[in-house]
Amino acid sequence: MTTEKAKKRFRITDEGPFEVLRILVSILIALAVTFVVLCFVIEGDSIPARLGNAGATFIKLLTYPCKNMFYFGYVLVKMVPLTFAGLATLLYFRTGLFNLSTEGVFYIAGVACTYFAVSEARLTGNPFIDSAICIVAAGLCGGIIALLPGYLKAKFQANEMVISLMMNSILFGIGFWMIKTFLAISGVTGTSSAPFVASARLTTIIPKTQVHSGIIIVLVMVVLVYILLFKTKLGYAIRITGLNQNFARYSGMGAFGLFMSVHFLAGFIGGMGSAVELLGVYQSFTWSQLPGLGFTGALMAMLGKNHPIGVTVAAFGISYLRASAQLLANSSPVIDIKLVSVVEVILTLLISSQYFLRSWREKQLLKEEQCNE
Amino acid sequence: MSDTILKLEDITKIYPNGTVANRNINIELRKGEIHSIVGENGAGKSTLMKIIFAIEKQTSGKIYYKGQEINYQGSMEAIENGIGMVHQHFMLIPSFTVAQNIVLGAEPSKSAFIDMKEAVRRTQELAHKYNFDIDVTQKVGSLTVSEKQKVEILKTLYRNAEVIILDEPTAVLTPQETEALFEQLEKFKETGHTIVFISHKLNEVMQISDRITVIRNGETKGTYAAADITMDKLTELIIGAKLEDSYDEFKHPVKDAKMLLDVQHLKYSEHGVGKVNDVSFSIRGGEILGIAGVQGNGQEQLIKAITGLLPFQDGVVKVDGTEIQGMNIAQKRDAGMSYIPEDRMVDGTAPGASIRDNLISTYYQKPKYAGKIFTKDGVIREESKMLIDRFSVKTQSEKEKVSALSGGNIQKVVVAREWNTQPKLMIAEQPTRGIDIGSAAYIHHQLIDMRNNGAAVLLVSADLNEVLKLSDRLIVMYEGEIVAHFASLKGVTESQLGLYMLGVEHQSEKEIREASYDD
Repeated sequence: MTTEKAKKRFRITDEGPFEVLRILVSILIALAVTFVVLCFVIEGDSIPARLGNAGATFIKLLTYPCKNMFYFGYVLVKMVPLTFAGLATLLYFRTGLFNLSTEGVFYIAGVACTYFAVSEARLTGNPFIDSAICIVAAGLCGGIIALLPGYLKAKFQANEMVISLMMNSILFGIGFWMIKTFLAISGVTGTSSAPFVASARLTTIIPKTQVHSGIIIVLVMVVLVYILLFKTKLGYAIRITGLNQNFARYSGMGAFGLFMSVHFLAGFIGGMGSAVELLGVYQSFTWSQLPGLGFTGALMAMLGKNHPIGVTVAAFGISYLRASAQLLANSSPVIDIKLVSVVEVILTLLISSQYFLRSWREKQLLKEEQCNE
Repeated sequence: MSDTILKLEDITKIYPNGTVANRNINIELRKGEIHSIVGENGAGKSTLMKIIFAIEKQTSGKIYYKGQEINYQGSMEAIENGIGMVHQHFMLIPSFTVAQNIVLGAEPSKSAFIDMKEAVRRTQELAHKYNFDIDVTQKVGSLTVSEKQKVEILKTLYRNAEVIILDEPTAVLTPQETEALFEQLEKFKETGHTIVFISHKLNEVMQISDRITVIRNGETKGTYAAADITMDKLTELIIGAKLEDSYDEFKHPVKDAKMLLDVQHLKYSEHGVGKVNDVSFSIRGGEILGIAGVQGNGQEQLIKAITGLLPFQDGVVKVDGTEIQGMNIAQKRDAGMSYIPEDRMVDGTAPGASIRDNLISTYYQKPKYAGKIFTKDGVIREESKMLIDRFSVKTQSEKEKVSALSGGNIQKVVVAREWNTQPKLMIAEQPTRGIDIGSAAYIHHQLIDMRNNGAAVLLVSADLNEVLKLSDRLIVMYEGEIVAHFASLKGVTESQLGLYMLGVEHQSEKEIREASYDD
């Protein structure tokens, strides 16, 4: 049996390699379409001139963040919240839950983080402990809030997507009111909280960049989520339930406890992400609308095929393009963050479509079969 | 008589997961013949029929119908051109009348409205013409299974079908109903219809067919006139080996066996309709109790109420003396119950998960396989390999997805997992439905091994032959009740059981009470 396994050849039509090929082709197509769009919007008198200009801009878009350490650091900074949100959402998706509450959790947990971060009286003065207090508080807040849709789902079979979307609006309303009423500087009208205490903020770990210690925290979380999913009993139950809930029930796995655990963990990770983003990048809480990071988390989970490593790679890739577009927006008249949306949309479409490249694979298999005869 | 009506030329079908279902299939159907397609399940019969009926598209190869190459885009086009199919699972609307079901999609109309009177007249006429004794104004929901099948056949005739494909039509019928169907099919020959008959049951195939095509592993193994081939030869062609007719020689008596399952006064109702009405029986260790009955007579609800897939309503169920009716599924399993469910793709496996993950789902929490938090991957890997080896699951690695396996191998994964907890009680629901004969025989031997080692086995199967071959004792269910109990199967025949299954005969209460032991 083991010798048979050793004989197994590498074939591009096997499940794993084929999946990788599919993703690579998707990326190529998405970039090609972006190039075509660029050709249309770019300035130029003749067609060759337009092509030339578009080509130059396109290459800039793909290489700009590698120009210097500061720019590349900007990519890493942007990647941190996307990875957090992706990790939280992939836990839901793996369990078969289409829950999008990470968006609202990001907001309300940010408020919880701010509650501690703006007041020296609630902190110790030790930078390490203070950051930890804020992050854990935000995590607990996110976890507890996420239990609500979890309970409704587990107990009453309520549709988690509808509930989570409604909840996002409610959480935003409550959070915004709390910031304005309790956490702003007294006497000053505005939508910002008081500034964070210095000891709560995360320290920069690479000199001359914005890269903060949050990148280490998020990488640790990636490893922890990987271990949770593939090495623990809970992770096993998550995977099996997500793939076939009937089978999980038949096997004797209890759905109630599992749903509650998953919601708490996902909420906790989302909350942590929010605190890390605020303490790493912001001076004070300034989100006057939902930050959109939670929804992007769903995108990361999809692109990363619900795998923690995949999510990290997806977050890096999307952050790279977004950062590049933002950095170039000042100097180039045609590049805008919206251009990157083209890439994101096409990637999501291709990667989530089951039939993409399927007939090609079938033909390859057919050829192989006929060769064998 | 020997005009070719439908011809398949080099049909190959490869599914997206890489499974080759058909490979260079060549079949020729003649006008006015009954042509049987036989082969193990998973041999590619169903796929082939779907290709003829244009539900699936062949990867390569050509189909000629009445001499013309055809390339239908969907089953509607096939129906319009005179190809009809009666599926294994009926596609009827229960709340519609027979006439409404038959004309559905091709209703006679009076200006903008459906002319229901005309529909009733036409369908009744059609039923008379083909000698179907059926009232077309009845609701389909109130019909028996065999009547529903007649409606399905009438549906194809209403669309002027010339080629009618019957996919395992006798699987849901009693022996008596099967006879009636066969008489009907003979008549179709006279009216020039071509019947494609798909079945597992070789004696039926031999009885009804003019010609027989054998398919093995997706390839044709030849077409034979039924008169020219023997049953033994046919079996050999289908599986490439001979199989034993009875398992009696493998069964060993088990001494001092305790009563391991005791079910008393179990009742189950759905929407106020009683599905299981006061059923009592018991099984000792070292015994296989079979439940026979036409599908839909409460067997499914009985099993699911015992195993916990349906909520328990009323009665007492004891496993080895412990009452389990109030327990959840995990607790029932801890009490010694194992369960091979009816539908391996819905309840029995997570097809998208690896074989390894599917092999441990019912006991991964036990200390041998996991600590407080972490799973013991090394132990699980070794155990999976051992199970794959012992149950000869055909795969390259335990990491392969279950969906990549054939039906028989998937079922082996289910049986291996349920076997591995060394259950006191094994509940096997349709354990070999839709799998190849080789795997089925293997699974039968596993059930007998468990029995010989002292487990109690409860076997429910729509395949009468299977129940008769395996069981030590047998009960027959009809309309949610036990109507017969046989303490020994010596001399019990299929047609005798058929009378009980149809509710024609009913044993005395005293005889039925013997299905339960007193101790």
